[in-house]
Amino acid sequence: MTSSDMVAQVPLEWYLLVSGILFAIGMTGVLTRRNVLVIFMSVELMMNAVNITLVAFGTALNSLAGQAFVVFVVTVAAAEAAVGLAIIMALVRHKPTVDPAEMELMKE
Amino acid sequence: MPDVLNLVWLIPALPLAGMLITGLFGRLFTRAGLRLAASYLATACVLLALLLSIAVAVAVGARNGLAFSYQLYTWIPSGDFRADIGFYVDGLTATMLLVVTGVASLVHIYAIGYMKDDGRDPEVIAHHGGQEHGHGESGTPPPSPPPATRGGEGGWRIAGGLQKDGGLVRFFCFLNLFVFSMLVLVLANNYLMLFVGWELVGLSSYLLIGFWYQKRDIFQDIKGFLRKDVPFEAAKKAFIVNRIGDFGFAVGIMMLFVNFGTLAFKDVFNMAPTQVNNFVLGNMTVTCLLLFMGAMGKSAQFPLHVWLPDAMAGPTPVSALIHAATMVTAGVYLVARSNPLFHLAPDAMLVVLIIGTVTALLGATIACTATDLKQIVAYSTVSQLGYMFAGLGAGMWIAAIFHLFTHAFFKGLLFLGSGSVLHGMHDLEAEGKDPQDIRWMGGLASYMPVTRRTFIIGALANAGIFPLAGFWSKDEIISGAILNSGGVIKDHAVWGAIAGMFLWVGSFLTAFYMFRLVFLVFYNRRHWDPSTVHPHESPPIMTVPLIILAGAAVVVGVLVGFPPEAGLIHQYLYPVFKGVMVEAPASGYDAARFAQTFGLQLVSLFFAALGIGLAFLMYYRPNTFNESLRGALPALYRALRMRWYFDELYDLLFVRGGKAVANGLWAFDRNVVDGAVNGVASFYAWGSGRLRHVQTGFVGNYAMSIVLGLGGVLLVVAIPLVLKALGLFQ
Amino acid sequence: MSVGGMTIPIPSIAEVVFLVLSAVAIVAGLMMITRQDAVHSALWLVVVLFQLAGLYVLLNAPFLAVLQVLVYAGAILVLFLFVIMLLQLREGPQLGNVHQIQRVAAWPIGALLAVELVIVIALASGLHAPALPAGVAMHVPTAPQAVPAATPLPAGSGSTAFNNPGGGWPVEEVALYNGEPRALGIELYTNFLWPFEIASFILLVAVIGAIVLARREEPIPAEVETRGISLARGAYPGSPQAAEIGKVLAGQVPGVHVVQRDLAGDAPAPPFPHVTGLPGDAPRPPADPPAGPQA
Repeated sequence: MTSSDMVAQVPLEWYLLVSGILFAIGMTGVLTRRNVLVIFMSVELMMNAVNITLVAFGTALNSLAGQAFVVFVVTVAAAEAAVGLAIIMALVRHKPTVDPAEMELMKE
Repeated sequence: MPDVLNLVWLIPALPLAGMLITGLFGRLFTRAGLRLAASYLATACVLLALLLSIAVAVAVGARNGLAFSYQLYTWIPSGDFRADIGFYVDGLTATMLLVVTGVASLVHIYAIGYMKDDGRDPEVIAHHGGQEHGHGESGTPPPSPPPATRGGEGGWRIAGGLQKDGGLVRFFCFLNLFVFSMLVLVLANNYLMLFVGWELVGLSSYLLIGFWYQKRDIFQDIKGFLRKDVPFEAAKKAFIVNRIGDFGFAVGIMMLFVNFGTLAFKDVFNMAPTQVNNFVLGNMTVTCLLLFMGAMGKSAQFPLHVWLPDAMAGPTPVSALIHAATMVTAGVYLVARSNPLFHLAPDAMLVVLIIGTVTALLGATIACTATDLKQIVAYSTVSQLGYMFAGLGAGMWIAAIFHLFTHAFFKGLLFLGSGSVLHGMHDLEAEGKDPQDIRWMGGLASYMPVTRRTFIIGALANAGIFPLAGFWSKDEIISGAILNSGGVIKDHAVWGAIAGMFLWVGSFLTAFYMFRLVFLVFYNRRHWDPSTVHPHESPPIMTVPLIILAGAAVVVGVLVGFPPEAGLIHQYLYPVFKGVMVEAPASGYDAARFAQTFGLQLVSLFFAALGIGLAFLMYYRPNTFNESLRGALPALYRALRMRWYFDELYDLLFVRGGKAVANGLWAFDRNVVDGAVNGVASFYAWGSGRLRHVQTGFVGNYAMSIVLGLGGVLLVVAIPLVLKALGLFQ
Repeated sequence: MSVGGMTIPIPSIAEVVFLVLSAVAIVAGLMMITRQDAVHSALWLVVVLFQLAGLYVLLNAPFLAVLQVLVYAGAILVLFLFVIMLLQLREGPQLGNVHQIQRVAAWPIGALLAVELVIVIALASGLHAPALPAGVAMHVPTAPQAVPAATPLPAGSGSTAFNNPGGGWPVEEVALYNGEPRALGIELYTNFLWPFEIASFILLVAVIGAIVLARREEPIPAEVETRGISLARGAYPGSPQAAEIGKVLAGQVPGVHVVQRDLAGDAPAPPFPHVTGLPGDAPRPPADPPAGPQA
């Protein structure tokens, strides 16, 4: 059995369903958690959920564009993680909390 | 040599250039001590335009009256609407060009002398005063003029450094602007461009009437009454009264466009005979009356005549150029230009005839008792414009234009002569006496010989004395109206005859008031104090234009207008009015026709002579005849003195009435409109006070709202899908 | 296999693998967002990411699977763990009422969103249509079918813009190379060259930005936090603040330590020009009132 046969046997919708459920989970995490790091992780989860749809569609349509997009998303995610974590470091140094509700420097 | 008609654009371009140079670099001129250079430049521009105009007029004559249309570019292309910048040159245009540039040239030259000293010494300006309480009610004149008080309580006059510095350059800038505007008006090849020129002359008229905008004088007349001389108020009055007429004009132009789909003269006039029965909106009579409304405002016709006498607050050259020779004739030009339209609207023609006749009599009667030198001439202008409109209304198109042509010369002459008199009697002002009141004058004949002679020539021409210009033109209108030579008002022939009779009365009055003026100013006894007032003749730069104009007033009538109804001007203008005239002007001398016309003109002459005789009896020497006449008809005299109470009536009707309406509207606005607006505002203030709590400032809450929105969108997509899957929804 | 007249397709190996991977991923995702400890959350996220790598393999994208493990699990998540451990922070006490409500309300809302997504995906596509056998409906795009296999397309002209966005890849070639990193490499360095370069530039910027942000700031020369007085700004002579600063500088306030630094570098300018009584300060003009007790 070649790998393309395996693809053929899993419907596209299944991937989409998994992606949608993971997306909803990530979003719930963003809304419920108060640790900014965990919120960050939830955002990463949401991005990965989207990545699945990109690759699934690309494979289904016999296109490499989906995979190329995922490469870019991963790149941006890496950049975002680097900058975002640096910002969190700087913020925590200023005020020792990870609750975004307490990060209110700009509000004043 | 290129066809001179292709250079027609240069005619308005020259004064425009003069205006721009003097206007933009006026300060440089003043600073460099070249005030006079600016005035020479402006005058040169107008003189060049005059030369070109003469060439154009000759070229038009050589074309056998074929109209020349010259399009520069399309100004507004907008859907069906198209407005071009272009020129339309025919005999009528050429005549107007000659009048405008000719009189403008002489007035410019004259103004160099008249306005040279306008940068008046502030010391002189500042010292006038007056008394609030006139002594006139008791009828006893004050023993002596009120003592001069420096900047008295009323502060009558604000000394202006500006007049001293920039006055002359500014004046010539405005004058050139006016000439440019008037040429645009005359040369336009469509109604919209004509309207642009129309408004521009209104603007320059406003600017020039209010030229001495800092002046707030109160002068005393011989009976102690005070007369206010506040030019900027006169300017406003002229502008606002003109707005009424211009409103009608604008609506008329819109109606033309609605019904014809074009505003170009050529197309409108070609379409008029077929289109007259296919009007979408209104009809030809209404359209013509709306156009005539504009003409009434601009040409000071009853009941919109009230602005013109007040406009005399401007400098005298302005009065001569704008308020006698050119701008006020724009209305006559408009009606004459629209002759194919008016021809198709006999009812409108009748209205023109009646308004013209009424105005002619109205102006003449008021002029009989007026005491202000310039206002007498102004009312004379109103009256003469009435003659022109009566001529138009009677279908005497060419006679009306002929009268316009001659009137420009002799009325310009009269105004410039008045200016010369005022110039010589300037000392009156220093005593706080009204320098324009003829009752302060008298016996000036020997002091101003040139002015006197030219003025008398102007008066004779205005009165219509054979063989001067006014005789040929004015009396041609009267005889034409009586004989119905125009033939347009066939159904109303009797109206023409009645109007002619009234115009004869007008002739009598005209002669009377003109010579009342002449006798009171130059003869009779001196009413001024020789120790303080030193009358003098004006310098040559002012008298030369007077002499030129006087010569023109003598010969121009017989030169272009003889024989009556078949003169040079009649042949020249015939192509313009070919479509609306009963018959072509006779090519030669027609004895029977001449006798008929000339006979009627002699009647007119008789009336004029009667008027002069009466004036001679009453005013040549000091006597009590006029006093007793005044005593015999006190009510009539008062009515005339109060100018038939027009200003008072308008004050009551429009000013007070308008105020009452405005107050009512203001109350409505404050309570209802503002109430609604404030109510809406307070509702939203209240609502936002409630909604404010949505903004918690927590990032999580905002993310939540995004998610809720996404959920909502998905719900909209999902619900139909579920229903479909369940078979509930197809 | 038939149960009560209804045909249930026998799951293939691929389907079994898929179901296992996705079930673990969903459960791990739920675990991730419910753990109290951030370290636990991060570890559960690693689990999710590994499952997704498996899905990529299943999707014929082995390069992405490796990328997922190396970059996400290997680099980004390790970075997260470093930060968590560096900061040593736990979630603090509940702050306010509003957030508390949201923490409860977000669960049903998230669940509703998941249900909606499932409904939309499931009902809008062929899953609910039994006429099309699963596995056939999905994977064959219509456009390649429309192109007869016997007529190979010339290179450089894709059949449709949609299934061949780069424009340079014929369907056959994609099918041939699909799954091989080489194909993705060619795609990235040809059709996506500019985005690729820009992405690398973004990474560079992010690295610089991270360094700048994470760098420890220079300490403020002297700040009296407890009193809310900035010495650097100085005070108006004679004002209460000036008196207070004078006290601080004289060491009369216990627990406040003043660090004096020369801000101007080479030029030995007095750091607090408006405060009198400082060593090296120029004497005041006599007109000025004394600024503090030290003056």
